[in-house]
Amino acid sequence: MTINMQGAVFEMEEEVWEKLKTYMESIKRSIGTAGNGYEISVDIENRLAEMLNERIGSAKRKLTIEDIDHVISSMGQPRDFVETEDLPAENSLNENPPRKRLVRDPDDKILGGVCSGIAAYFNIDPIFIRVLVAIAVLFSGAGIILYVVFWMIVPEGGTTKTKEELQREKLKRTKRVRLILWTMLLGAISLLLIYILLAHQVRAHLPI
Amino acid sequence: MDFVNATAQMRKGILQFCILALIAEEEVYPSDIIQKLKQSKLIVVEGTLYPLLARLKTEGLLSYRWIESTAGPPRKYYRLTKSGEAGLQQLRKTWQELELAVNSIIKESE
Repeated sequence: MTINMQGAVFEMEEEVWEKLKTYMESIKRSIGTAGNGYEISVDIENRLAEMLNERIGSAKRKLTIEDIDHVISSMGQPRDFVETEDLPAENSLNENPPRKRLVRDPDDKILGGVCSGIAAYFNIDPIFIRVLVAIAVLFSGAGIILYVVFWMIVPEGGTTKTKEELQREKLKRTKRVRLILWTMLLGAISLLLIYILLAHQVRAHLPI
Repeated sequence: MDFVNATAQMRKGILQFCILALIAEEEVYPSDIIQKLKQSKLIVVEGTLYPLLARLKTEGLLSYRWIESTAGPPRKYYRLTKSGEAGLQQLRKTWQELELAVNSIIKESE
């Protein structure tokens, strides 16, 4: 296939182009387009095109994987050269930790995010809280009331997700809730059946 | 203490100084100065140069012009602006002071 790179034309097989494309995309991704980002990407692409041209010389041959590897090793991987001060500092968040608040976690929820919120507050895995709640629901039903009360009074925390992600997840969650409800229904029915069966057997063994 | 980070920071400041100094000699094409920088281990990969040059340009220390090339796309040739030259003078002075100070401290502690 024929590829035009900043005005320079190259012939190469598809797999060779895949490799080059992946590399250039990783550069664009890590440099971004803010500020000088776009210009830097173009500078690098120009230089890559030039290096590839130099390698081919006047031979007019196709580019090979080795050519790509060579220019990549000379240019380097984005993590080796992207200036890190332009990125948000990781530890600036930890310098002044905000007071802990109990909020429902909209990014990790099955129903209302109550369990994951509580888990986040105590810094444990949400599964423990979820199991506890599930047990409370099964054994007394008080779990349901408690959950709903928490759902109502605990405010929802901020989300880090985009609108599309949220929509997609809402759909996924509806399916999950349906699955949970069905499981609960089936569970209730089987419990009832077991209960009836046991009652029968007990009665059968009772001396008349 | 994080020595990797300390070394990287030290290199970075000095790299900027050296690039300005190299460009001050003559109008340069970035990959022409890469060899010198690689030899002195100030740069490991060529990619380091482009974000740095773009930043120096944004800060008004460098300017460039396009020059046609036979080897491929047109090339950007960089040179110092007035404030780039002033900045370089300042860096030179700082470097000389630091070199003296650091050397004398290292010697005393040896």
